[in-house]
This record gives sequence, structure tokens and C-alpha cells, in this order.
Amino acid sequence: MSARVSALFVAIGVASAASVLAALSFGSYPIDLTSIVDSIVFPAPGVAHDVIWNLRAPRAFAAFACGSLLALAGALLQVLLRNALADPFVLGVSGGASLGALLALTAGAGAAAMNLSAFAGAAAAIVIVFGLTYRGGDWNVYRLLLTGVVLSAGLSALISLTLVLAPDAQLKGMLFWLMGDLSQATSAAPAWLVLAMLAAFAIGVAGKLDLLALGELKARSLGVAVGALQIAVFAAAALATVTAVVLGGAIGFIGLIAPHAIRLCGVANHRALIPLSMLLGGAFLTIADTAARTAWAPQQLPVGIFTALLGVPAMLLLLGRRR
Amino acid sequence: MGGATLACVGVELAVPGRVLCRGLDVRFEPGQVWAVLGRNGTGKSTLVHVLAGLAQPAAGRVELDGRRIETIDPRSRAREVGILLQLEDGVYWGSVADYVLLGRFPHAAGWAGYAAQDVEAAAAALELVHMSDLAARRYSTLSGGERQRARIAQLLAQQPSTFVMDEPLQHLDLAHQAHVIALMATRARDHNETAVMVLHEPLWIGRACTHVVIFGGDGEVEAGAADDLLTRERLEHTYGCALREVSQGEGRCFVPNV
Repeated sequence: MSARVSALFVAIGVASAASVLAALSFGSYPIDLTSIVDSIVFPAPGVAHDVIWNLRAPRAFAAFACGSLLALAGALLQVLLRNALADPFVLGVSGGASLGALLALTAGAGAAAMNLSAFAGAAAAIVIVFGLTYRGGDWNVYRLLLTGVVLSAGLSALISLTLVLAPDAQLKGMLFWLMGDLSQATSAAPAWLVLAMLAAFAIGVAGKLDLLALGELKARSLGVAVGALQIAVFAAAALATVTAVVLGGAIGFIGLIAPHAIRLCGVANHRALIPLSMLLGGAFLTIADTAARTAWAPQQLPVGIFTALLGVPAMLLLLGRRR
Repeated sequence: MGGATLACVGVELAVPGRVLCRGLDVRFEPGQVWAVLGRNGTGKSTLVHVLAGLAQPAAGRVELDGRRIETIDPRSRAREVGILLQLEDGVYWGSVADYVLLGRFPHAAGWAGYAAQDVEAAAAALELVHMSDLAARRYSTLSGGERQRARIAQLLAQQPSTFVMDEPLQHLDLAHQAHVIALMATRARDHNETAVMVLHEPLWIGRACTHVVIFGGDGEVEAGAADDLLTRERLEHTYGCALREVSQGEGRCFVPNV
């Protein structure tokens, strides 16, 4: 591992830890670092303990998992579609999930039913895209990409229709969902399980992803069984996206940008690119979510606003630096 | 080192609506340097893909030491037969050294990544194409000719015994054309490796190649020793263009008579 990659791992690792500490510390009831360490090392009942373990930690962990999953999905899809602009939502997954969630909200369903409905919508979108693209072993990434984009356009029309027809009382909740919102995030444990599995898979096939990025024929010429790999990568990206979307709604920007930010730092091989992107995505969403719930307190803002507000200047700076 | 024989047995190549080649029987033996000649669009690249196991012939089969090539595990196949593609449609974001290292994939263990010996093989391959000083450069900043040399280095790092190369000389300056041709001829002779190269440059064919495959363009393909097949009349017929034969020293070459 080169010195640059090691340095990036240290820097982004520290940033990840700092992002979680910041998420535990900031809020309407500020908690200083010593109290956080106290409550981790010597758990004792008290306000600080309750705030940390019942309110902020679950949300911080949900944010971190969600950001990591989105970054992972983005990195995988950018290789699979060989398109630098691919993000987790390019295949219609977020459109399907959003429509599912909005329909549940319109029907006045609770959080659990809404999550289930979002999951069903995303799964339906994945099955439709895959079914239309993959026929009898014939697989074409351009058709996959176009099918996803076309389906997304259709879903986006249905989402607009739902918004227009929805009762005013539910409109705000819907907008929050569409912009990405972690305030409703429940237990993140399943998401972490999915994250661990997918991370192991992605790092395991990292060497093959390096070759797939050079083209299908090239990868086959060097001994990669491309067909099976593409299906596995598609499934992994879809699962990561669905899990993230059910957890936090349609949070944009991270999946597209996290892998590019790492590439702009000079990392191309996926064995480093994937874990670094995941750490960066997780840390970034945790910070953005902390900002979203504290900047306008007591009003909570959708985190999707802050991923872009914080990410756009950072990304423009990185892009400018490489000229 | 080296030693595997790649063979076409009754190979028919076809694209929709057209037969490119009928009943081709040819054995590419270790130590031989083959040139694949023919006009644009006559089936040279199709043959090259079929030879490397990347496409199936319309009829017949390709064998590597008697085993049908499509039945060989892809990674084992890639350790024996390496191909230089004419086009690469992906983008690569990393350094030249990392790019060349990817050629080691068929040799590397899955989880552990690339080992020190792989890094050494990649560095040695870069040295062979005179690119050691560019190792740290980003691949995407290379010129067309430098990129072609990096791709050849990647193939050399792969260390196959049979090199199947689709237009290895494209984008190269004259000195590097001579260098690559000499490199492949030397390796075939000294390491008992096989080179099969799609070439358009009649300047090199007569000097470096021991054997040729000539695509006539009408489905007729001839294969055999260069001394027998490389005549001015046959090349004029192949290319549809008047040629002059120039002998110099031990070699000979053909130049368009314009």
C-alpha cells in the first residue's frame, strides 16, 4: 500500500471518528467530550447517558451506515456502468422507493408500513430494470443504464402526481422524505449487517473491479468471468441502495461524489477506493446530519440539503486543486 | 518457458451476412512470429478474438495444446494466451505502474492482492518498453503512443507464452515500432514464445515474421511460411495496390509504388 493511500486511510479514519463524536456532542443539550468518554467507559444513568445512547448514537450510526451504503453503491455502479456520472439512484431504485413511501404516506400509514412500502417500491424498480435488461444471458450495460434512466423519469412523473394530489397535511413529510431525512431512522442494526456483508463482497472482488473498469473484453482477456461478476455487482449495488433509502430516504450527492473525491486524491485501485469511499460517505453524512438537526434548531432540516451545501464547495475545491 | 501451441481446426469466422473465413487450419507453434494481414474489415480482429478465447468461431474450434480453449478456466487461459486489444473502452484513473500491474491479475491470489513479485514483473515490463521514467504518471495523461506502450507493457507483465496482438504498432513512432517488432521476434526465438500480430506495416512483415495469415476478403484465407506466401503479386492482390519489393541486407520489405 502506497504512503498516499495509508495517509488517506488515517485521515479519513480520524474524520470518521470525529464525525461520530461531533454527532454525539452537538445538539440542544450540548455534551462535552469528557462526558462522552465517561458515558462510554463508565455507563451510568443520567441525562447525558440517555441523550447519547437513546437519541444521538442510534441516529449517528444510522447516518454513518446510510452514507457508507450510498458511497459503496455509487462506487460499484460507476464501474458496472463504466460511467463516471452513475450514482445509486440512476437505476430507478430511489424513484421506486420514493413512490412506495409517498403512497404509504398518502394512505396515512405509520413508519413501519412506510418503510415496507418504500422497500417494495425499490425492489419492484430493481426487478423491472433487471428483467428488461437481462434476457437469456445477454447483458448490455448501456441498455441497463438507459432502462434505469427511462424508468426513473416515469417514476418521477408519478411522484410529482402523488405530491400534487396529496392532502396538504402530509405534503411536508413527503418533501422531507424526498430530500432525504434521517430523523425517522429506526434501528440501524440491519443496515450495518448489510453494510458488513456488502463491504466484504466488494473488497473481495476489488481486483476484478479494477479490470472491469477497463472494459468487459479487457476483463475477460485477463481471466475474469465477467457475466457472473456483473450480476453480482448489480445485486450488491441494488441491495446497498435499497437499504440506504429505507433508512434515510432519497439522499442524493454522496453516492456520486464520495468515490470521485477519493479518485481525485489519486486512488484508483478498488481495494483502497471502496473502503475509503465508504468511510468518507459515512463520515460526510454523519456531519451533514448533525448540521441538519442543529443549524436551525429546534427545527430539523432534511439532511439532503446539507449533503449538497457542504459537499458542493468541498468538491469544487478538490476539482480546482487538480488542474 | 513458453511452449504451448495454439491451433485453429476448421475455423469459420462470420459476421451477420458475411463469411470472413472458411475452414482455416493453422498451428501457431512456439518460436514462430506470425503476421495477420488483410484489408480493413476482412476479419483480422475477429480471428484474434477467437484465438484468445474471447469469441466463438461460427464453426470449428480453437485448441490450446489439444484442449478446446473455451473449456479452459479463464485465469489459466490468461496465463497461457495474452491478447493486446485494438481498443480499450474503459477509463483508467491510476498511475502507469498500477495500470501495468493489472496484467498480473491471472497470476495474483484473489484476496491478498498483488505480491512483491508481481510489482517486480510489472516494473520489468515497463523497462522493456522504455517507460520506467513514466511509471508514476497518471495513465490518462499519456500520449497515444505512450499509452500503446503501457498497454504492451501490461501484456508483457501478464507473461503469457502466446502473444496475440491486434495492431501492436498503432500510434508508435518509428523507433518504437522497430523496438516492439524486435522485442517480439527476440522473445519468440529466445524464450520459445509465440507471437501472432495483426500488422499493416509491410515495412516490418518481411523482416521479422516467420509466418503469415493473409485474409483475402472473399472468405479465402491463406496461412503458411512467410518465405512461401510473401510475394509481391500476392500482397498486391491482397491490398489492391501496386507495390515495390526492396531487399536490404537479410530482410526485404514492400513499399507502395506511388
